[in-house]
Amino acid sequence: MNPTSEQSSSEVAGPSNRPEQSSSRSWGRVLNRRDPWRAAALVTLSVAGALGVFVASNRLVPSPWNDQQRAALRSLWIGELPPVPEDPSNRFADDPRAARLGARLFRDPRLSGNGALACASCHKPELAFSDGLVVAHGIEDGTRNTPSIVPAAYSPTYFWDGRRDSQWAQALSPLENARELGSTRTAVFAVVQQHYRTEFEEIFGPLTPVSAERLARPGSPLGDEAARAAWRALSAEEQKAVNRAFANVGKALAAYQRTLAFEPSRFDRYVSHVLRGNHLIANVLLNAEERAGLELFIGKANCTLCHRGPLFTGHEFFALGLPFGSSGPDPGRGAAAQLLLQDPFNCIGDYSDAKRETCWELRFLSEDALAFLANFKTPSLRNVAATAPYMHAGQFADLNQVLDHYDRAPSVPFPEHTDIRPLHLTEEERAQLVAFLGTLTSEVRDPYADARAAP
Amino acid sequence: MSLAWVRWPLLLGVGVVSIGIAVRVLVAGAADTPKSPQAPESSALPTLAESKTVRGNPLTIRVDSVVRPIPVGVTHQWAVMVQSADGSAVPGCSVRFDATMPEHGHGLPLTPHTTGEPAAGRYRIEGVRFSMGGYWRLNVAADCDGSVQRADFELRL
Repeated sequence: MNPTSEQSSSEVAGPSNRPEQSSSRSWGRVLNRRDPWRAAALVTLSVAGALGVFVASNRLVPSPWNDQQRAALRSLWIGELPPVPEDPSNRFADDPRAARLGARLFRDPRLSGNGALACASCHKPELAFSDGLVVAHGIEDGTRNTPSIVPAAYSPTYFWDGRRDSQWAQALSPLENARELGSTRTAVFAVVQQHYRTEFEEIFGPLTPVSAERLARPGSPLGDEAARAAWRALSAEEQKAVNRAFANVGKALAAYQRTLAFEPSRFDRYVSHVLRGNHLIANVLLNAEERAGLELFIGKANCTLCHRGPLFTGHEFFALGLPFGSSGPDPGRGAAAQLLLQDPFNCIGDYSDAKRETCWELRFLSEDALAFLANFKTPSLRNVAATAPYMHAGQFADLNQVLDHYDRAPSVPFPEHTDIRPLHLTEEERAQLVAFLGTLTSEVRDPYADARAAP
Repeated sequence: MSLAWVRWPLLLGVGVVSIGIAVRVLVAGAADTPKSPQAPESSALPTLAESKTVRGNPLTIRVDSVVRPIPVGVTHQWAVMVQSADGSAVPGCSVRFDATMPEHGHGLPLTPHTTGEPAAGRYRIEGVRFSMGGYWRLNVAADCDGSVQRADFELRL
């Protein structure tokens, strides 16, 4: 902006306010019909003058934040979010054709065992890509709460326990999980071959043929006895062909999910104005209670230790001493290392496009189960007010309960060690924090929202 | 005189431009980058000790982050330097590097290890990632031909 032009416009607007013009003449005469240019100019200059005064006073209001707090606000602001990081394990990650295919597969119920469920059944676009349930409900009830998938492309690990190390490997897991989509990789292969063959082959190259007779029996190395027997009946070549196509389904699903992005929230608009010095406007965007909650968030309540950066998460794992969920004690991260090492679709596996050196999570994986017992991944807080219930097993119905837990930080027998300490917040402060969290709600931008499953 | 007819249209233009500027300032999009001197990094908080020399008998250990400022949440490398009492580099040691947060009771999210010795007595440690800001204690040990030196370093991120 140019302050000089503002100044001059205010000055030029001056004559319209001179007493002999404004008091002795009626508006009808000022807005002289015979000289519409004059009327328009006077009105416009008046408006410009008023706006100029407002802009100036907006800048003169002192900032309620000190330099350190401003730095903290900036660090959480969506304008600081870097582009989605590369995924060396998926060379189709940024291929728009793969993203389009992934968006169609994401909505295709034929990828489930009962033909009625799709990824989108639990990751509902209208619920910020979560499901609003305590624990996921696919073919059966699961044991953990459905996380939103929107900021996931930024995370080095996936699931609440980090048992997968790429978005595409993560996407494969629910397809074959008996409680989730309950399908098998041969069934997924058959769906691709029958309904998506042309576009799939354009992206990933020709599908290696597998005999229709063998494909007719759902087969997977992870399924029930019948599925495992059907898997064993395939030749090694056929198993590889099915695995490769299965991995590519995951890569397409990941390519799609990488395109989902948060629109700026009210909090982001607030920070944007604070950083510009527009404090009058900023204060319209966040009320006093929400601003007090923000001050606690970056201060006394220590929230940014874990919920840091523009996604409000550092993607790390911590023990919070939570009450058990409906399925009892959960080892969380403590059991994830072995699952990750055994996954044939991990970063160093045959189906990954990554060089081994870039597989940090595997190369430096800690196998110390005890150290990570009941550790769960820090979720993003963007859209948190719209994604109840909370925690890895949906233990808390609302944010008040969450805040109550963090405030008390109870000592528990399992796990022995927890990462949080009592905060000694007042009732009012907890309410302020909850109010602030409500400012993080925003739309999710889905460039492929119009995608539909193949007919 | 002859240019009098342009006076009001000109002033109208000035008014419109001024309104445009004011509106642009007031309703600027949230994703635009406001001008700011050097965006401070959240991880660039002061450290207690980025490197320190521990005099032992007979080895001296120094540590240093390859990345400055020391980041939080980013996997990066450190270097461990081992010297003998006379200041000469000690090659061929087995070096261990670990860190804990005494106030929280947890360690690092990954297990760092030595991946090379790019110069004599200088050991490359990969896989270091600090999971949160705060007070960290680094525990370093160098085993050089059976002579073991341990050193702790304090770090505030």
